[in-house]
Amino acid sequence: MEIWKWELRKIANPGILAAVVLLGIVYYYMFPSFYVRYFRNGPNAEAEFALSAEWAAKYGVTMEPSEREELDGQLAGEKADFQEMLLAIAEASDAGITDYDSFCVYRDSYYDQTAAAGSVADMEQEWLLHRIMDGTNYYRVQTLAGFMDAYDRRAERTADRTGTDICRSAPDDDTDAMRQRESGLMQSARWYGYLPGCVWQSTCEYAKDLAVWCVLCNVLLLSPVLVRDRMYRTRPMQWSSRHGRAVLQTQMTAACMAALAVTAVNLVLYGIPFLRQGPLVFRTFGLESIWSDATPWFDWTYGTYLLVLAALITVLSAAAALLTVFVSQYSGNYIAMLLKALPLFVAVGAMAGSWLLDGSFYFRSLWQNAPVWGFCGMEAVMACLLLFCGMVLCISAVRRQRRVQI
Amino acid sequence: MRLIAFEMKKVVCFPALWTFLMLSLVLNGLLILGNDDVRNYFDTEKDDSGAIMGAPENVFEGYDTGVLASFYADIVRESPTAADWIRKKYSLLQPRAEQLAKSGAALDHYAGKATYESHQLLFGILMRATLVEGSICAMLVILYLMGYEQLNRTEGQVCASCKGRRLWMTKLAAAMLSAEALYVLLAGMTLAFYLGRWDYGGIWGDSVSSRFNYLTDMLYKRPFLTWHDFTVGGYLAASLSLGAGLVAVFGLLAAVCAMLLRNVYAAALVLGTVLFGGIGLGSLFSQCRVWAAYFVMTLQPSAVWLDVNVWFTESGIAAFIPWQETVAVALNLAVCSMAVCVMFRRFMRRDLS
Repeated sequence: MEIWKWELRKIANPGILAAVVLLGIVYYYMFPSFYVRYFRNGPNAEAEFALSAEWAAKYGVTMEPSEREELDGQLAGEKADFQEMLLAIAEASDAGITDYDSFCVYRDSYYDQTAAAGSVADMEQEWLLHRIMDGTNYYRVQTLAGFMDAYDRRAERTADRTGTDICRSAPDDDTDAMRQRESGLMQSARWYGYLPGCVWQSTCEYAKDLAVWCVLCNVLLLSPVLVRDRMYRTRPMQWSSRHGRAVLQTQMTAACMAALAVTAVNLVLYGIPFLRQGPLVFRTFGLESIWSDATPWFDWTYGTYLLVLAALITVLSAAAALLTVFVSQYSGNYIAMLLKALPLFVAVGAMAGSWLLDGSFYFRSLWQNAPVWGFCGMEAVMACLLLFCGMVLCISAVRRQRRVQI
Repeated sequence: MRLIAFEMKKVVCFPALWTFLMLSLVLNGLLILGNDDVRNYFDTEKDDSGAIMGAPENVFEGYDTGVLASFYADIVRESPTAADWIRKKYSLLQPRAEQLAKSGAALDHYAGKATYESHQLLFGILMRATLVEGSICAMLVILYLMGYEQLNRTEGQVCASCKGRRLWMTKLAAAMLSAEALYVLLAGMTLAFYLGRWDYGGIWGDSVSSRFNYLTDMLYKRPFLTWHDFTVGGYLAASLSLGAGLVAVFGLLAAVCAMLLRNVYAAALVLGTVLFGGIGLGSLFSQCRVWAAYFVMTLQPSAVWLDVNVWFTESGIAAFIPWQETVAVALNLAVCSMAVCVMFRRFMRRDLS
């Protein structure tokens, strides 16, 4: 126990911790903070979030067809509000815009003219368009109308029991598991879920950045530990006793515990600003959503999904820690370790971490535009494989070390 | 000379370095192979110059850089100083636009409609990757050589005399030579693989300011306006040369950190934090709209690296003077060289016990 505590103290080097904290602040500011500041990115996302939050209180986690009919009344009400707000914009009536429908005609006509004229904008019309869009509940009406349209198309697909997600351009490539899953979803109430697309997208991007940071954190913290022992030639002293022979095992355990602790701290520090944006309003919502064309593999709630992502990041961090510790015992100096740590970070953090957290547990291809679809739970399998590799390598290193002659 | 050779031998006999180099080449290879769809399009468009219907458009004829000046001056309007710098830069660009119009640079075909993607792949993605790998090699080689004596417990003996302490300059020279050689090797092998797959035959003499090439900055699309008439071959040579200078800057920075801090790992961490933090600071200044400070931050080496795809052009919001990337590299070389001299003088008198 005492050796274990000393090893933890060696890992928690104040200088390295200070550098990691500084780097963390810069990294957070440059990357993940965007998805907090722009959690609802743009007026359409704002409208999507607001509408979904209002419906959550009224309709629950799914919207039944009977509840969908009430949206017609809501849309009429929103259009009436639009018309009222339009009265405050004098230039609108001069342009012949009296209500939402006439505004849509005006807008579409302008965009068609601009496209025909080689995308040269008329700045006066642009000004009027944006004056009306920003000065009324235009985005709310547009988003609501879009949702109703998407709902109706989804209901048609359910009635026909044909077709697949419109985002999948080659449905013939779908696997049997994907068809089965989608067929099952169509028959369940979850098919009419309405988790806002912006919530899911921000969650995925934020989780990706967090995963990359957790891996970098652990690699930087753990890289010098075993290298320092080798440089100061402490092994012969340690190996001269029976307890000392097992020191590598203690060091690797301490490294793993340190990595888990650091990951837990990062999860809390990252989680606080993210959760303050209000995504937990949808914690009981299913992942399948009319707002988005992505299809989830599992019947999890959004709250469960957050916990699963946190677990995935933890597994990835532990794998990175074990691989770092394994690699570091074969480095005779800090520079050799850094030359190994950088590719390790690129492979495990930047590449594997980004890939694992990019729409985890949803239908997706193995890489962008790949002809092959991933299988159910692929991310968990890959993360566990990485962790398994790290554990096997560390265990084999410990066993080998016990047999080595001094 | 012998000492430099001995020091370089330490670098050559460093296996982890060659492993890193190999992994870097693998990554560059993956980046090249990952853009094969663009390559097929490039091969089709490259030879299509005869198929163009109608007269090619000289986009520089009548081009007014004042529009760009107004656009950027409006963005940086909170800082009158920054706005003046921007207007001055674009006023100096107008004669260049006229020169490009006269020379007919826009009439060159380059790679037709595949020009933008292929140009950004070579000069954006690949150059950026090669530069960062070369710079990391340079920084770590310098940290390795400078920390070598301490690692092998010979520092006390070596630094016991003035001649021994002067060895650190020999180490720096050997490290810089090795770093540049590694950069040349990395860039050479990457380009060899790239040009082996992408047939640039017949377009080396085309202007990079072809009407098919353009830049987009802050959603504003503009022609590829360079400060000098560059052919594709000339632009590549210039980029590689400036890249070598930038690698030297990163190397000198590593030398400053190594002489300041006794621990090479701490020096590496501080170096990483300073370089990464510099980018963050520039971003913070632009977010807070402190434009004069933001423009000064664009002179730092990591900012020059980030903007590799707009080198030798007007560079939009990323530059406030003509030839900024070249001036920045020269300035950084001068400042870092002075810093190295100051650190070395300090090292000569420092108590190392």
